[in-house]
Amino acid sequence: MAEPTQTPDAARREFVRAGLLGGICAACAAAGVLTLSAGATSGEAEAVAVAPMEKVLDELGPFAALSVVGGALPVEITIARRDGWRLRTRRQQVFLRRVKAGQTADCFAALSPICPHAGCSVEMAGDKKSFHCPCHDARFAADGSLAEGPSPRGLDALEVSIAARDDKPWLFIKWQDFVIGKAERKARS
Amino acid sequence: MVETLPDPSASDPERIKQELMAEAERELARRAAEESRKKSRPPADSDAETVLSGETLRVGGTSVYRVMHPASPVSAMVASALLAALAMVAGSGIGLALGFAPTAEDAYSSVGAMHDSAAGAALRSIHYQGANVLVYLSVVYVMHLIWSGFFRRPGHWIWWRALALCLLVLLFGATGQLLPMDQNAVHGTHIRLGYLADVPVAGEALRSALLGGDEIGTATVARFYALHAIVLPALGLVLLRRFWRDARQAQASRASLLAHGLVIGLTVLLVLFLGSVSPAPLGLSGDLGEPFEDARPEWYALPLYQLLKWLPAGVMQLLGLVVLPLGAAAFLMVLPWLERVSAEPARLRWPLRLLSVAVLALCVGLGVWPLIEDVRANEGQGAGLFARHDVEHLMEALKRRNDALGHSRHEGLPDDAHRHARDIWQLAQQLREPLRRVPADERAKYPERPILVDYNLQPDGRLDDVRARRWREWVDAMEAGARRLYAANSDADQRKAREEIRKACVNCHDSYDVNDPVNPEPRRVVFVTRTVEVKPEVKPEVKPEALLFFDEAKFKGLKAAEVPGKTSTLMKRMKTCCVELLQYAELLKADKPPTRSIEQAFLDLQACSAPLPVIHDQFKKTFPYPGWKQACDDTDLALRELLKARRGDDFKARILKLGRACDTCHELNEEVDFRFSDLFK
Repeated sequence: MAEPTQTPDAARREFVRAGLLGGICAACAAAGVLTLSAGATSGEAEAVAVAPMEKVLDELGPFAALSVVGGALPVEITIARRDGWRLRTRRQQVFLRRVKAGQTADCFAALSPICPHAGCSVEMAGDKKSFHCPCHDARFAADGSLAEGPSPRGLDALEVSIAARDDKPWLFIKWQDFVIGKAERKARS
Repeated sequence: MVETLPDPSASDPERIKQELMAEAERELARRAAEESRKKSRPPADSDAETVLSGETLRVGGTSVYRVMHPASPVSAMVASALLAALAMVAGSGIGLALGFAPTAEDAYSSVGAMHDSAAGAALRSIHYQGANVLVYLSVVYVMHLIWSGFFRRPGHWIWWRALALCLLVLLFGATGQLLPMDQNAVHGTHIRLGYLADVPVAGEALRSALLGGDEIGTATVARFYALHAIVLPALGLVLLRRFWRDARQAQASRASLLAHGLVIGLTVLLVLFLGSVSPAPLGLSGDLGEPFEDARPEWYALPLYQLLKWLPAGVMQLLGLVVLPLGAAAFLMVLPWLERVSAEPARLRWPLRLLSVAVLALCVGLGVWPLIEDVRANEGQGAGLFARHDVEHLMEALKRRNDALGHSRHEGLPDDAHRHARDIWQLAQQLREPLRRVPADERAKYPERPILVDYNLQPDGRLDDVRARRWREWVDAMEAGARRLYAANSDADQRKAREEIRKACVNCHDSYDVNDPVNPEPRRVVFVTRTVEVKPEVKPEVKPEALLFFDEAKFKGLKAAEVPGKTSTLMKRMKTCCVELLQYAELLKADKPPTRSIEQAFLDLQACSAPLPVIHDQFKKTFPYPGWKQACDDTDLALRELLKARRGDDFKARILKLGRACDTCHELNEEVDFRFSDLFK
């Protein structure tokens, strides 16, 4: 309550008037906030194509780092993002790893580069295998598990699959947002 | 008391007057009692108490603390300085709002357009440094209030207003930081909104209400802009109404107008000085998909940032991030109840003073810590604000933007070509930096810069001036192309600009043996990291004659071999000559190497073609061909044109023409099974 500037009576009147006008203003603004924030996320994402398998398995091509077990490299995928009333697409970097020898989907693993600590993008360390978050110095092992630093959990794994596209086998990755800052891994919907 | 309260419905002036008189009498009685009590205890040492006892309390008019507050010239001065900084920030904010487009695609470009003009850059710097000065002054104000005891009741409204001012300034900073939509803004806000979701109960809902989508986009910019330019200023105006009254009263009562004018002038000068020394930055356009390792919070949030590096996630992080700041704020808010001016002698005065100074020192220390870490990061290369990126890093960023622009001449430009062009322009400027910034003897200390060291240093360790100059020339060319694209008025202009950028890339990559052709395919840049020998710079000047297939000088002294009389032998020799010429041009591989020199082969070929017109008479009866003469003329012409052929495709085209002249005849004569075109199968 404001300090009394006039007689208590006038002060009360002024307070009531100001409160009434302020309340009307705040109520209208709140209505706007409620309208705007309804249903604003895109929900479950679809897997997006990365590259044809013949290219992924080519030992001399851009995916050469995957020819050895344990090798990893950053690849870019195009993901759809809900932005208010529309859907936008943008490029997103993810890390693709080779887990074991072979040509099936379970031979590959994908890691989201979003640090589960604060949401920064992690970068590949100098050994081209492990990962480092430049914001608060969290470090992750090659398989994405937490090595040191303030992160509550390891890097989040993304789903890798192989499916036909134009009658050819392609590698697909499903992008997901995860809730950050929690030890428990939970996809944002 | 209850029965003496005036009835709100009654408006009898006589009665109100009586009430006021009664109230005044009561107040005077209370004051008299207080005076007598005061005499029995040691003199007050607090400013607030001194002031209170020196003033006459008036009832129904100015309230107690407003009489008390302006008595301190320092508060009045700080208030004047705050108002001056506020005026600058508000005015420049209106100016910036006029040119700002709050959408995800255009926000960066609209700020960039302002940033590129001198007036716009000045506006941005005033807004940016004015806001910084507001933070300094808020801290000074709060410290002053704590130091001089003005948080005590009945002065608590002043104190709470100061706290509200601090909160508003912080909220203005948090919402305003996103608006330029450059890398630091987008990534910084992304991280802060992540922290917000950590706050228990309302955090997640607040985050999604602010975001309005999966991640920062048009909805987010619109919301932040509305908060920054409408909601927060409205709240600020409510606060300012009180604040302004205090300041006005202070001016009228204590300090001279001249002193206030001086403070205001100094504040304006300070903002202008800071703005010119450290103008508002604008980095590369924001893209959450592109990793940005230099995201750092605003300077006043650096202490918290450093704490977060140390605290493990979970309960500890929640303590550091939520409980600590909220606890500190709550402590400050209840200060007026911890110590009242009318209570016992000020027990907490020195503890509070010392505590405030200690907390401030701790914050400064925690804030400077990450700066020192950043300067030392990456083996002296720096991080965050102090990052000096190596060439690979800049090339990655350039590649991304060039890919986004597309290299194909047939595809149109993307809608956001404008901001990509601006980014390329900025990156080109940074590409010039490594050469300029690192002195020769220091460069040896940076083994992690293979490109610069390998490509631009001579074996003796000194900078290769020629290479450095050419490097700058290409960077200049790229920058010029990007500027042209940025300012392009027509489709043709844009194409030319893109070609200029592409050429600069190709020229440089070719010269440095970069294993990466600049092509439309998205690709990974693979830099060759071996040491490249520095070749002599001056290329031998190529004369136009050197490009010709036949060397005119070598014809001197050569004579054609004798032309055989038998038609089949003649034809066979012509074929051999042609095959040998094709061997020299590397268009044909034969079992045995040519026996004639290039020029000899041509002379023999020409000599053999001379009797062609008359040869027809010999087999006119078996092969009557009316087009013979025409074919001979064509052959003759093709041979003369062949003499002027240049190496490569030009030679191939000309000798094919000769072959076609021969083949027209061969195809019709059943006895001949040779076709010139067969040589190419």
